[in-house]
Parts: sequence; C-alpha cells; structure tokens
Amino acid sequence: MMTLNCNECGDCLFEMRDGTLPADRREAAERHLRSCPACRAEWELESRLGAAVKRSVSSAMSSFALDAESRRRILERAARGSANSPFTWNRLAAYAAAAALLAIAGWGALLGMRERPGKGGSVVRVAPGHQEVYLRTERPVRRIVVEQASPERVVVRITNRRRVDLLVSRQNGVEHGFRGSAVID
Amino acid sequence: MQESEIIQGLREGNPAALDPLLELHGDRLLRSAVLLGGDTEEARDLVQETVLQAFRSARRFRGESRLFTWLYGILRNLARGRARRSERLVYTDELPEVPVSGCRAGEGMDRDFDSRAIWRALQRLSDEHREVLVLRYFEELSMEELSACLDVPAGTVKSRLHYALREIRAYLPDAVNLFRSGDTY
Repeated sequence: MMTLNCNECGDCLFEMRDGTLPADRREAAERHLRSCPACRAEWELESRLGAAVKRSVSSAMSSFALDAESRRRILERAARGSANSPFTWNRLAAYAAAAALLAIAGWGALLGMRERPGKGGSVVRVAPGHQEVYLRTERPVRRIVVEQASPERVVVRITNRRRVDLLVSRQNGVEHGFRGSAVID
Repeated sequence: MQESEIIQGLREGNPAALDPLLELHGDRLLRSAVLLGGDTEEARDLVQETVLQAFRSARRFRGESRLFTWLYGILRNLARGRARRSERLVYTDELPEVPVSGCRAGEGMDRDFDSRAIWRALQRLSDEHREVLVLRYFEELSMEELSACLDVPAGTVKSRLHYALREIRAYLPDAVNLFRSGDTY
C-alpha cells in the first residue's frame, strides 16, 4: 500500500483538487490527510483562501464588462479583414511595400537612438507627454530601459554601467531636468 | 452556440463566429486584460487585438486546450509585447481602485472587510503570483490549463502557486478570518 509523507501529500494538493491524481496516489493522500491534522489544516486553508480570492476578485471585477461599442468595433474590423482576405498579387505587393517601409523606419529609429541630440547623449521615447528624454552620458549608452515615467519623475535603467550626468525630459517643447533620477545597475 | 461551433466558425474565417465568442468570453477577457495591464482603456484595446488575432490565426489552433486558455495566451503575449514596446513596467499600484461590493451588516460586513483585505493583498503580490492565483481560483483553471496558459511546465506552476499562497497569507491582516464563512474552493 502506497504511503505519503507531509511533503509528498502537499505536492499532490492541486492535482487532487483537479481530480487528475492516479487512484493509488489519491487514496494514499486521502489516508495521509485523515491521519495528519497539520496537512488537513493546510488543505482546508487552501480551500478557504481560494474561495476568498474568487469572491474578492469577482466583487472587484463585477463592473468590468465589454461595452457594445468595443464589440461593434471588433466585429467591424473582423468583417473588413475577412472581406479583404482572398489572396491577390496586389496584396502581396502591398505587404512587400509595407515590409520595406517598416525596415526603413526601423533603421531610422535605430539611428535615432544613437543620435546625439544637440548637447550630446542618447534619445529614448517615454510615456505620452514626455516625447523624449535626453540622457547625457560620459559615453554613449548601449541599452536604456524606461522603468517609470510620470510628469514628476523618470527612472531609467542603463545596462552598460556608465554614469548618467543629467536626465532631461522635453515636454511640450520645454525641457525639465531630472538630476539624480537615474538608476544605474 | 457551443465552443466547438465557434472554433469551427473562426477556422472558416466567418466573422459571425465572433459574436458568440464575445458573448461567451468578452467580459472574461476584459477582466483578465485589466488584471494584466491595469488600465481600462488599454484593456479594451487589448481585448480587441486579442480577438482579431485569434480570428486571423484560428486555423493554427489545434483545439488541444479550451478556447479561453488559447485566447488568454494570445492576450498575455500581446500585453507583454506592449509593455516591452512602451518600455514601461506595469506597477501593481496601477491596478484600478475599485470598491469591493457594498457594506452590509453582520456577517456580510465581515465578508466585505475580508474581500477588501484580500484585494489589497493581491495588489501587493508580484505580477506572476497575482496572475497564477487569479487564474487558478477566479478563472478556475486546472493545473494542465495553467501550464498551457502560462507556458511553463506543470512543476513550475505548482511551485509558483505554493509561493503565491504563502505570500498572500503573509499580506493578510490578522483580522481576516478565512474560516468565518462556510465557503470553500
């Protein structure tokens, strides 16, 4: 007869709930639960916690429903796409042109990232309202990740460990300095 | 309309299949998008893109998972792609502040308190832990479905769930009594 210890029984918990545990293992787990108050308490607690999470999320999310306008837009776009779906050489040519444009735009964006705007540094685009952030660094940086952007604060992560001298956010044509806001790892 | 009929309609490129799909999963996808992205407007966009992508790629859906699991996988990839593209992390405190049901006297009031405490605790969890708890207990996905949804092995899902349960318990105030109501998962 198969027996399980507390760890093994805990390991079975989720499959037991799903009813996907093989019969011999399920019986062993049930026997263990009957004889072990600590595991039984864990089993019960997981069940209660799960029910509480369900109740809490249901309650918090009850007001979120896909509105009629969103549905209409989805159906409209799908119908438009489906009407255009038959393959034609014109479509292939359009795809090729779009791909070429994308490649050119991508190359341009890449060059833009390396560009030193005016007083030197690299350019990154952040959230709406902050069209650009200029990073003035001792040397060009290799990779910049904007971790947080708000009108008050911009936090970036720079991966090649160069010191950032100054962070500037340009908003509506006005430059704002963010000295000391950079996080360098 | 049954799920299998919806899938068949999608595979045939019939936009009429989207209506029952939205009826069945639209609200559910929106709630998932809110929980993944935090912004209601962006969540609506995400649902739109998810459904349209599902419509375009339905021929590749092999029917090995449930429709929602497949849709959730698309939604999750799109949400991650957007977060990467905007180079902006989604912070847990950006989740919508929503009232968790109204107050009622006695037992109901205690349950409301518990629900709010659990919602706040959920917001303090990492994205990974919050996601796995919501999918397991709110969406009621099995371990197999979780593994498919999150694109990780079953063992990883199990340990993630264990850690998530442990973490949320640590964030719950002592006043929360999970044994107050008779509900179990």
